[in-house]
Amino acid sequence: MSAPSTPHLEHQFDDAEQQFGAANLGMWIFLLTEVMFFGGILTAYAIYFVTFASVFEDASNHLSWWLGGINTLVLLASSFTMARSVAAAQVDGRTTQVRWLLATILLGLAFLGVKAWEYAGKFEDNLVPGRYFSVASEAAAVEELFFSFYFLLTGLHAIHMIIGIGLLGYLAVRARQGHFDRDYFTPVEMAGLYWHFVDLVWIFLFPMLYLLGRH
Amino acid sequence: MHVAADVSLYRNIFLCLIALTLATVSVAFVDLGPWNVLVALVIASTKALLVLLYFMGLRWADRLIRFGVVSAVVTVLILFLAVLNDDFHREIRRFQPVQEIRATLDDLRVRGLDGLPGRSKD
Repeated sequence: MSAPSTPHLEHQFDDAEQQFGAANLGMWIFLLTEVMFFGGILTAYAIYFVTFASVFEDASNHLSWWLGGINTLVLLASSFTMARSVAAAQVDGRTTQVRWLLATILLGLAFLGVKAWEYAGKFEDNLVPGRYFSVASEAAAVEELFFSFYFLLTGLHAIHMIIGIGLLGYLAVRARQGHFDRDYFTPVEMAGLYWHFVDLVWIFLFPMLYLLGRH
Repeated sequence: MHVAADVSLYRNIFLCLIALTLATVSVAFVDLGPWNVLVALVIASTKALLVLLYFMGLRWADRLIRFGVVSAVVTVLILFLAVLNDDFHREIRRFQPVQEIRATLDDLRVRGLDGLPGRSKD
């Protein structure tokens, strides 16, 4: 391998293909540990749901299904713009690359904005577990448990989003400097995998938290 | 070497995901008894599969990656089903009403540790 033709090749790899394979495998393994991480919490949630199904359904009705629904659409749109970012990194110039990345960041921020508004509402309505939690229900303690899961799951998801937005901001700067082209776009593709994974988690959280008691 | 960029595919997948989101919201308002949860999970899994296969490019990924994803899903399912199965088959009541717990504690206070079940008084 001559250096000029492959400026991004680290010395420990034979060729660009092998370098990409190593990054890709590492990213996927990281995401699979994330599956275990969220899977464990969702299992705990499932146990309490089957034990207290009707109370969880009542508690779920305190959430706004349409805010959750709007956020689902926002996040799906951000996954679409993310996929376009990865494609743009391969075939388009830096302006187009930056544009798709910024669109993804904006949609991510919109999601967090709606989320923050929802959280504020929960504080106002005394639905945050702890000292001031109060609902008019005989099973208030169980409703409180539901909200503990709600804040745990959506909070962890939001932290992932914040990290993702940070990554995308960094990539947008690099894209603007012209770091990515058809020969080298691994960072964009890896961040894309992460972003889609965060979307994937929300795809399960939305029906499991927001839509339990609508029927 | 990767996800070839036929961008109209991404748009079509996006439209499918929107349709499935609308479907899951609509069906949540219909009372299907215990089937509501199942239908919601099936729709969510379908959406997850679309994201995995097309947005994350699993469809074009190496067999090693695909094998890894399948093992992770199977492992989570084992965790999920084994724990739920265990939970369903327990005879003890894990969630005693508060009054019962309180009565047991009062009993203990009156009779001391000898009041514990399984403890003889000799």
